[in-house]
Amino acid sequence: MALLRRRRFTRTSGGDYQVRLRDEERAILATLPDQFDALVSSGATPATVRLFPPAYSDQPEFDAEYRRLMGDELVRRRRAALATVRGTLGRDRLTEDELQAWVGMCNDLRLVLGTLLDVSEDRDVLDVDRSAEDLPQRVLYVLLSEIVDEGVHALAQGLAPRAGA
Amino acid sequence: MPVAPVEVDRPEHDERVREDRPWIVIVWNDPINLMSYVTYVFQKLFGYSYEKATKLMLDVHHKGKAIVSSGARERAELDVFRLHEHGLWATMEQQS
Repeated sequence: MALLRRRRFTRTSGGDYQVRLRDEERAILATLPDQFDALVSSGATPATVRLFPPAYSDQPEFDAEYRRLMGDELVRRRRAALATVRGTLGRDRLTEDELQAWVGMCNDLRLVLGTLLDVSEDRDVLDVDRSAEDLPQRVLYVLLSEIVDEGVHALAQGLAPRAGA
Repeated sequence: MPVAPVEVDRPEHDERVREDRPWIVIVWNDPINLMSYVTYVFQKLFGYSYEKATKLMLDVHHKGKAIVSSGARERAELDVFRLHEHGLWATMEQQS
């Protein structure tokens, strides 16, 4: 895990979220739902292994049952979030559910990219040669990290404190 | 644990499923999920305070794993599903 800073999303007094993204960031985000939809719909592959982890680590027959019952629902919920992102990409104001869909998609993509790039806690993801072929994916990973970090910071402002929790 | 001669050939995992023992939900450390994201997910899914969610997140980060909830199998499976929906590496097992 890693620690980052925040600024792109602000919770308003009305409970919505103000979005401040640069045009190029919005253009990049606009390309992601379709790419990700294809990945999610392909089920558990080496790239998406982190999206569909096992529920039972040492009981394969229980895990097979879990995947049979829940696997499609995991895909369905992710695709529903992608539809929300597609429908709100141009907006400067998001509801809580909409921002959660953005953050969810960006985090899922971090899991896919982080798996493909084999990121570790010991080494900065941008600590590579400038001519590295996967530099664009690494830069995208950093952008997604910032969006997730700043998104959850804003969303956390909307969490109601619960007694005894 | 009761020992019945007719059951000696059963796989070990069958013997371990006992109705009277709660299931625990474990979140494992991973190099991808952000500390802030993991803390937020614990708050959102379980209603934990920021302090409790942060402590659990730090346990995951430093100790490699943390127990985030426990209960009946169906409840634990639902918690695992919600954690998977949010991209966390969660598994469940029956308490020994």
